[in-house]
Amino acid sequence: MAHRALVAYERSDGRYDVHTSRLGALDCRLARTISPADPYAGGDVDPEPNVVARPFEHALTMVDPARHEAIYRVEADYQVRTYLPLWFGLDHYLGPEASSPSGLVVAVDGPDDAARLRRWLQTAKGVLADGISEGVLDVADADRILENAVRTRVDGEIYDPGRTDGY
Amino acid sequence: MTADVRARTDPSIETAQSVVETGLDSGAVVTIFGECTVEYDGRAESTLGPGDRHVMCKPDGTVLVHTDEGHQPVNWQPPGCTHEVSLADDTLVLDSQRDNPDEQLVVAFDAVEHVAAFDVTDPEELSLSGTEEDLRQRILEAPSLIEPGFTPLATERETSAGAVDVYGEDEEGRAVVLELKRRRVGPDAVGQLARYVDALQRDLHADTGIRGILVAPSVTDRARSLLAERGLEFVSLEP
Repeated sequence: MAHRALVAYERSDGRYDVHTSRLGALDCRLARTISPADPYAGGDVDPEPNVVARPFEHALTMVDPARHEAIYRVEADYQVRTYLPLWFGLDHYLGPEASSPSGLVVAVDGPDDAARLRRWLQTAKGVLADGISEGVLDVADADRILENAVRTRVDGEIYDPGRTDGY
Repeated sequence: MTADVRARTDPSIETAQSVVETGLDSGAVVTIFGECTVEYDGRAESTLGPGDRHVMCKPDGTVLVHTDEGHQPVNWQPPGCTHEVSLADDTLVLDSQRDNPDEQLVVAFDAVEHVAAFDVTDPEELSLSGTEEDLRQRILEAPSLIEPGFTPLATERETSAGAVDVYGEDEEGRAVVLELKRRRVGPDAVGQLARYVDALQRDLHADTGIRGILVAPSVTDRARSLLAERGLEFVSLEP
């Protein structure tokens, strides 16, 4: 719901304060609207941090790929990098016993890149879900295939928020 | 009202400079199309080599550099910048400066194919539409769009699976969770809605079933069958 995002601001000590935004993932807009003069983009980002002084990898563990549409990394010089959480979530195709959300977080260049990647993921998941429905694959197989496909397709940074070391 | 337009196709560099300069001075929207290079220096540095680009300067100080791809400019300056236009070695140079932070965008045209200055009058306020926020506002203003008797009770209601956008009750007093999407949706939206419904069921220790309604312009066939399988509902609504 909404267009939820996490925003990790680098501190002078190299660690990060993590804030939330309810609508800031829309069209990856915070990458353009966050600036030193307006760090919270006119209130688009909640000025109260959720956690303070953590490594960036900790911010990744806060990503819920089923809910968050973007995560932004704001460096100390206010360069903003945009990441897209990719929700694998194949088990909910099968019935009510869905396990916790899984997925990867990948760097994107902007809204067009994010939109292309989302469409690609939806298509790939649809194909894999057909395989699961037909009994050809189980969910674990499909998750592995999807992870390999993402790692092949995406050139830039890839993080696995489910792993504590962040990679 | 027809805007006052001054435009030249295939102008000399001097004519192009004159149109841009008088346009900027008079508060017009100025556009330039031609082969150019773009240099940006500020929070980062970038250089775009020679290529055909369409550049727009707005009277509020915005500059947008567009190629033939995407809806986003490849380079831009926000409102509040100052522009200077000059000639250097048969090149038309547009220099945009921003003070805080210190940023500079320089567009140098070797050739100008088209230049124009538009005296734009637009009394209409821009109405942003098409987001999930718009959809939410529409529902809060007219809850019967969901169904007769639906009453929204809370927005951003927290559950153990995250905040529910709209929480309410139907005319029989049953709890209702709405999942709003601005576009055609697939199984993921059903999965998200199911998570909220399950979480709320746990949080409330609810004896009676909690209704989950997916609100979006349309759903895919797979999503529709998943909704049915899970006893969830769908209401078609455009943002």
